Amino acid sequence: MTPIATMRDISKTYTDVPVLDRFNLDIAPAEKVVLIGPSGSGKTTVLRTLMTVEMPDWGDLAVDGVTLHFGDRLGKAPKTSNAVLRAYRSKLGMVFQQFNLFPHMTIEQNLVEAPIHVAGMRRGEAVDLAHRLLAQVGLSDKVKAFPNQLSGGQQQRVAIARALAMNPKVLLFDEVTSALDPERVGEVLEVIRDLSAERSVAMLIVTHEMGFARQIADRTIFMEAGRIVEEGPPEQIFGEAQNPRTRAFLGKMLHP
Amino acid sequence: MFDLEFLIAHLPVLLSATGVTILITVLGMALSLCLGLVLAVVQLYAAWPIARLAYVLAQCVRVSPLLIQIYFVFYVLPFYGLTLPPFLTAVLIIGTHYGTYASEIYKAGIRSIPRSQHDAVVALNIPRWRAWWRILLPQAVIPMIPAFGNCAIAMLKESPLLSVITIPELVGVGRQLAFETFKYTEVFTALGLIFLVLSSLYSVLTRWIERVTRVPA
Amino acid sequence: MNQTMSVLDIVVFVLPGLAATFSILGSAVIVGLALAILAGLGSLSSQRLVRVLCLTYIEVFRGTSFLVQLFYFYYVLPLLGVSLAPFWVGTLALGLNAGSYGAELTRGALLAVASNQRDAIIALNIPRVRAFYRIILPQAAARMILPMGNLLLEMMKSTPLLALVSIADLLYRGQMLIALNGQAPIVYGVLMVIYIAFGWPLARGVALLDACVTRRWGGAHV
Repeated sequence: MTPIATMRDISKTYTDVPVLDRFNLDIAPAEKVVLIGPSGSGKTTVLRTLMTVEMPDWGDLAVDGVTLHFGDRLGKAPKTSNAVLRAYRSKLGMVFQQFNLFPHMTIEQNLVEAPIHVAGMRRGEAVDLAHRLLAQVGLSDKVKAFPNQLSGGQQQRVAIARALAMNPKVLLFDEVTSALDPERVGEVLEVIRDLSAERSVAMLIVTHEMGFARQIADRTIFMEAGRIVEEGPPEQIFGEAQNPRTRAFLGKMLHP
Repeated sequence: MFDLEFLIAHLPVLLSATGVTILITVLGMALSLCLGLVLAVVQLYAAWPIARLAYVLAQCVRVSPLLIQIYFVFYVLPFYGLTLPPFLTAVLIIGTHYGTYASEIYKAGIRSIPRSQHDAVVALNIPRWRAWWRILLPQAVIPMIPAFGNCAIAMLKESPLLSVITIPELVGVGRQLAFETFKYTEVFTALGLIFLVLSSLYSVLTRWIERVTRVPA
Repeated sequence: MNQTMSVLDIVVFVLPGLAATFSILGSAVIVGLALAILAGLGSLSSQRLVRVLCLTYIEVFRGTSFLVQLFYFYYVLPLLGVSLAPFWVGTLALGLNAGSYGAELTRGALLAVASNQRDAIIALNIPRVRAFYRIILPQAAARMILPMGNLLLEMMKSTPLLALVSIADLLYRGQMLIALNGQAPIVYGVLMVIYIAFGWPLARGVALLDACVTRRWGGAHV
């Protein structure tokens, strides 16, 4: 099956430290991919370059037929036009560790902003959509609240609804429960679990919640030092990992 | 015509006045750092009427113009038979005025010490005074350094007001020189440049203090 | 005329100075606000020339003493052939000085908000112009309430300097009165009280407004 998203030879360097070096990844339509690995292994950078929140230094990105080329060291690519970049980004949605809601807008305004002003939806339609999505994440009563008045878990559920409102082909989750109080983690994971069951959207998830990773993943990838060390179905990675480094990491995470 | 030779000839006069300006701001800053701490501690921890009184007094000084305060103190003190040398009066006034700014900075800093640090001090049974002096205040003070730096630069730029009580600081001396020689353009341009240099000097100094006090990450 | 005057007489005498002080302060606020916004935005411009000009303005006026700037307008400009009425000397000197501080505040607030919200703006694909006025500008404005309010207070506290260049403000009127009756302590005392009567509510009002916005948005300081 043709992948919905591909990362080809993606390289990214921060102040001379290479974080990703010729990284490759294919995601199939509706596939749920979970990235695990020690901190500093480049998991978050994979998500951030795929979303083009950070521009890769080198390589190709493609989502649903829109392709971006990076790197001009060898005359590889002309500068990407704004229109292409916008078309590319419209295929993706991202949920951040720190929620990144707009603090001066109500929950409803947060949700309708992009559908109206990016996708060109009519206001009435966008509001209906927002209410449907909020019902789905269990926050129908918070429509007129400001983000500040919500708990972290609730804010994160709003952020998920906000990303969904643009109907992306691939949803990226960047350690979405790391900033939450432990008792709030469950509600957010449950929302993601429900989504993965009922929607055909592909997901790329970075998480430290190993139980959740095992449950939701179609494919689990273990990364270290900017490279994929081992990948496979969760039963294989969590049950009978081949690579000693994968086993060492999981040993620490599961039986600290 | 810009008379550069004139400026070079009179540079020593301006530079010695610059020395007075620097001396006043250094002494004034020392006073305001001490007074600010006292004001902050009283406002935060003293009994209610005393804390309230300190707050009201500090606010009155902070929200009214330094120039009016200079005249007021300079004329009121002799009225009650208290005559201080102008230089001492100058340092007292400017130090007190900026002491009220410093107290706001201290208050914000002290309030921002995490609850956990207070708990840790109690849990480790560290004596109260030592806890404040060695543990709580230092971690509050280091983040305040940039704010104190801004305070010092503001004081530097307001110190010329002291010329109205005969302090021979930079702008007073410069203005006199301009009156006598009619070289207004030269003198005031020079004054502007000297202030530019001094305020960059102060901000370099602040950044240096920030660097040496920084806890390695 | 060396008889003792009552506090009320003093207040009545200096009142015209209050009008001068506040008319200059008011027009300087307009000049300063316009400059703060223009130079603040300009300092972030992608045009190198605009950026350098705005940054130079900000650094020069922030780096020198207001009194020096005031004297420059009063003594030097006429020598260069520009003679301004006292009202305009006060307005321009105060406005240009405050504008440089305001521009630095504007610049800092815009930069901080833009970097906080950058990821979300990209991920939601919001167009640049819309992101600027709908996402970044309102939050930057909220952040600026407190520092801009403090700046306004500092401007008010700078107005007595205008008396030093013969502008008939509060202090000037007060000193006229002292020349007449010699009651320096009480006149300066009355002036102090007048300034406190304006400065205190201003400081409190700004703090309340800021607390109000913070309570609702929270994110104004995030």
